[in-house]
Amino acid sequence: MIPTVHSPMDGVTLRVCRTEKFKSNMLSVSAVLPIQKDSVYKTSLLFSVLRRGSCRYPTLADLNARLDYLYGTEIAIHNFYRGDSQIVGFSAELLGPEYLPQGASLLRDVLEVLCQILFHPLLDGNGNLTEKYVESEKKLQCDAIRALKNNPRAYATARCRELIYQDEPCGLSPNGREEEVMAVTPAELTQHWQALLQGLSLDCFYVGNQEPAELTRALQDTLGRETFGDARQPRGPLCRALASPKETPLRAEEELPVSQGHLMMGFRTNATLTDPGFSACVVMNELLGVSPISKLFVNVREKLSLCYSCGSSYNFYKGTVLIHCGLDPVNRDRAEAEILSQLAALQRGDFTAEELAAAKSSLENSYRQLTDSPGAMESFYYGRALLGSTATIDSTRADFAKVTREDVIAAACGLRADTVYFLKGTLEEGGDEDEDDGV
Amino acid sequence: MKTTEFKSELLRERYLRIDHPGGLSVYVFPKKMSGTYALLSTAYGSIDNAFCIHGEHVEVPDGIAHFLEHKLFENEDGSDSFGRFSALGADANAYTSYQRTAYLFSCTGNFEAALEELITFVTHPYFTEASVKKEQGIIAEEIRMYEDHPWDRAQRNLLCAMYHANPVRKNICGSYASIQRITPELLYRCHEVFYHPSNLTLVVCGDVTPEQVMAVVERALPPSTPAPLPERILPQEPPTVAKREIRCFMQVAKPLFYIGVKDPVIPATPAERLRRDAALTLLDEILFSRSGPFYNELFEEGLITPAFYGGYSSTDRFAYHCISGEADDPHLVLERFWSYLARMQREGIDPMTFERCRRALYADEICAYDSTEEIANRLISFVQDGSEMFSYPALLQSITKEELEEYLRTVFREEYVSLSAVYPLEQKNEEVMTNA
Repeated sequence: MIPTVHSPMDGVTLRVCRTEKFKSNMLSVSAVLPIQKDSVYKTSLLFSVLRRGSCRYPTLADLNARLDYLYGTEIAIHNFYRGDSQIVGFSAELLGPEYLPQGASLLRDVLEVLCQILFHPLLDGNGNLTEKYVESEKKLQCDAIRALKNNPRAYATARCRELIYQDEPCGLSPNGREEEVMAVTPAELTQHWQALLQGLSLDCFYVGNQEPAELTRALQDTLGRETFGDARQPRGPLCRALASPKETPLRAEEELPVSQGHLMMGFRTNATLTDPGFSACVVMNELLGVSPISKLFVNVREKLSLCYSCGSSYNFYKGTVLIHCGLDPVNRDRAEAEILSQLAALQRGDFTAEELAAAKSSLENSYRQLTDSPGAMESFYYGRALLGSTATIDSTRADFAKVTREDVIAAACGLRADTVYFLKGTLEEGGDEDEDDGV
Repeated sequence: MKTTEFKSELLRERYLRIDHPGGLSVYVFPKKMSGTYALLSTAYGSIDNAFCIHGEHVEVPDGIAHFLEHKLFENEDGSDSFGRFSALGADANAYTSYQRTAYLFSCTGNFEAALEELITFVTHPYFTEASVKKEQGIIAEEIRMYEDHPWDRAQRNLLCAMYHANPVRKNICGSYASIQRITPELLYRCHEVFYHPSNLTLVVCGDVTPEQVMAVVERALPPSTPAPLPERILPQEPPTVAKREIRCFMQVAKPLFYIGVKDPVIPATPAERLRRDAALTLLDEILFSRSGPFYNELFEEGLITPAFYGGYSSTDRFAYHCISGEADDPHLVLERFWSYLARMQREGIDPMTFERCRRALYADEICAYDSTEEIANRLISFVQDGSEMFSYPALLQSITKEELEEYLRTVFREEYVSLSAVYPLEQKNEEVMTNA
């Protein structure tokens, strides 16, 4: 199920994973934009405003009712980073034609709604995006910025990322700061939308049972009728050279009135997806903090019972490893020391052949299962395509299998401490007062 | 062994039920996927904390079902079943809900060996003082983690407010105090009572045959004869809510609300329960979906944010509607909830809306069959409630607008409604200041 690549028209790339495996089909339409301080938050705001209403479907209720009528098709905004690029657009999940009473595909109808959203938003008499929607979405974006603290772990992760990437584009939050969001005017956002359309290239990714030729025709008949991309520039590189770790690791601490503490430890590796050390880094990270027999799970949680969750994740678009541990704040020093000692164990080669084999078979298992999910297929193949990699799921699995003990040790030795961040929970144990606080 | 086949023309799927003489029920759902998902579940969850066995009335500490789930992974030889699954390349996990404890794995190879491990570790308990002690620390951190989740806290408070006595009002993990009372003896006792094969169900979904599955079951399941199940003791629960309102203060940017509508009607038979579930699920879709007037009016007026949900959930021991979201003024949302329902009761359901919502639920239903994990978990919940999964899409189609309008007039009553809200900590300080 390796995607075939098509170009239905200028500025549009279509990738198709043709498969009969699923009852629903997936289509995503994305733009790839550089992350820039003065525009990243506007782009996030813009897509939320576009999703509010169009000429034909002026309100959110009209849009959602149309989608429900199309058998509950969901059109969700996606907005995430890959390296130092922002990938923003819409994803739709639509029921396959064989499960529809008339047996006709929903694809064209869904593309029609997508075109309405992207190219025909509701405008006022001056040709600006509707003030009501802009103002409402500005408030919601500010709410979202503040709501990050509702989830202490997500907040700690975001704060630690900001510190690790403080001198890099991806250190900017996609939602920006409240003051800059509130300062955006409808006219300014309209200009941003028009500039985006002028420079626009679109990447479409499809997983489902329709033929590429049918998809191409459907795209030509819908997207093909819209005007965009007159001032298109070639796309810049997605990953820059790896940044070096800070000379002395940055240490930061914050307090939040919650009961659990969150320790985050960020490291630089010397490998991204396209570097030779990539596979070894993935296997090392699996052994360190992903599988249930990982060094962190077995020792920090199971042996010392310091926490419920302790694990690591490898951002292979940026070449960093982030370790997280959610714990009672009094255990912070013990946990940090244990995490470092487990890392040192990997660096010394203090792991068994069985542990290494288990880490590799765990990866083998999860990568083989990628083909069971349209979203996972997209994430794998589109992510690689963005970096110009032609690796397939099978070739990636084969590369993991070849990783040796020495490779893992080298990858572990390549980790350099960059940032240690601690979110200290300041509430005392047992917030049971609510049960008695009824009115 | 008795084998029964279930088929759905609409879904183009089939599955088999095989009754093992030892009491275990086995379900095999063949599906051409790369991964195979297996789940071994006992009909024993957090709410089964009082029961009667051989004439003896037993009460156990809250959170014991969940504690047992954590501890079963440890084996007598000192090994950990997580490690054994990992060595096989299988990804294992477990969860405890109000009504069941399920142990599961997914794999792309070594299926038979992994299934054998699953059946073996679940049926072979081994607990010591030291290992129980160690787990208390881990579970205390798990409780702490959930305490910091405002949505989770608001939902738990809602159940506390709605229910007087039903143990669904208690935390699945138990409390810091209750888990201290758990001992190896109590764990053995609960295992003996609830993990008999007669109380277990195995579901496998993936590219496997029933023969493959049954060969492993024969080999791995300890010999047993069907045994009587414990009688669960559920306290008397009045139909009305215990408290109209409950609130707490936490680290949140904006207040969160859960409006709960208790459904005191739990039909006696699985078929009636399923029909009620389908009807009220469709009714809530009509009333509270993102294409409906309630969400859109409040959203356009800036009273709520997109973090909104409305739906119905039911089991054989409790059922309720739940509407949740973020709002500066949860009381205003509750007021609008009542005026909206009054309007809907007056105007009735628009036929276009009815059709649109039925289509949306139909599509959800079909798409659920794209994932082995989702299939297995749906199957177990249907099986546990005694109903047949493939009957659901047709049931949804058979529900009429008139039937829903009748429900609309009767199910939403003031004495069934509780409001749970979580307010920002700053508002607690303001309140203290005002009171002073």
